[in-house]
Amino acid sequence: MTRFRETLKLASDRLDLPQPTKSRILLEIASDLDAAYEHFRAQGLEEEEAVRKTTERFQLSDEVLAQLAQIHRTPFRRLLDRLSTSAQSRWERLMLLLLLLFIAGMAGRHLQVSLLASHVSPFVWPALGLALVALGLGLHKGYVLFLKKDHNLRHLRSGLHPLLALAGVDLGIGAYGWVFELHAAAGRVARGAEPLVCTLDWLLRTSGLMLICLPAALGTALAWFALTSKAGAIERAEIEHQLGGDDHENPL
Amino acid sequence: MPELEIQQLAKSCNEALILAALRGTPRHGYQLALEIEERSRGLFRFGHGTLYPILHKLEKDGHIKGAWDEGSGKRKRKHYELTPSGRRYAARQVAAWRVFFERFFDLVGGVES
Repeated sequence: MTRFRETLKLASDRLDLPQPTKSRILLEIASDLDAAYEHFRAQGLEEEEAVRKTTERFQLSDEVLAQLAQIHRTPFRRLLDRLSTSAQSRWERLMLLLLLLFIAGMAGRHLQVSLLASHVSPFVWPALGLALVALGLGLHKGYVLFLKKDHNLRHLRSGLHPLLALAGVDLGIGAYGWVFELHAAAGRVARGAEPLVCTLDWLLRTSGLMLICLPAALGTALAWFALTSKAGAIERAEIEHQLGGDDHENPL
Repeated sequence: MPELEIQQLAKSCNEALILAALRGTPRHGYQLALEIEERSRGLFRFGHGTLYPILHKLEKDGHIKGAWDEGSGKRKRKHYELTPSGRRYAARQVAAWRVFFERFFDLVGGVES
């Protein structure tokens, strides 16, 4: 139904919340507006009068909307939204992609040498494992959003946060491995080993580790940016459709 | 002994009314407002917009649970039901209001006589 479109649009403009929370609140209000309208019509009111009375009863003041925003906003959510918004720009995404390709290319060249020489930190393997899990998750979500086009709002964002977490864990493994290997090299020097050899060995092992961890974390974060942006676009289109009612074509 | 804060009376009153209206059966937001208005014979009349912050706060605190009706063809609607935690919270609210009114009428009744 479009009779309350203006009321809902005003509420949407003033409701400072990210998707999909905003959409869910607006859908709830929209359904209650319809129910109130039908109630007034059943009482015998003319269409215009029923609309007027319904709108009058649903006073969505700034204070009410601010209270709703306060209830639903969490610090973690604020952080995610900032990151997500910053990824909306095509240029930023292109720059990230180019950076990723550059790092992946350089990593590929050096990785061959590092792995063949067996001078690689054991931390590489969990990092590689997590990168593969992230790749699988990202491909699956990409398939669901872009090819299968399953746009059910309820699980639209499921599987996205784990991607971000995997990127963070990959970085964490890299940082921990770097310090761990440094500690081990320092221990060998303390036991009388040649310092230069130990330092070079540490550099070789940890650079191999970083060549895996950094591109894996960047790639996973990039996938998260892209998929989150797509999910946001789907939610906006879906809410437009839902609020527009049956007389509009689904834009998706 | 549960006590109400004077500054929070309106909020506590609204919460108690909503929890009471949900005691019997799950309801949609608009049904809740109607139910409260009808059962109080028009005394407690919600501006329906004010209902949502209260409902969402109660839901966030785990006192009520919201779920969407999967209607075919029609717009989806969200209904709310009381949780076990909500039942306990409602009981505490009622007890607090009882204490409030006892003390209130002790005071006001004394002035009247």
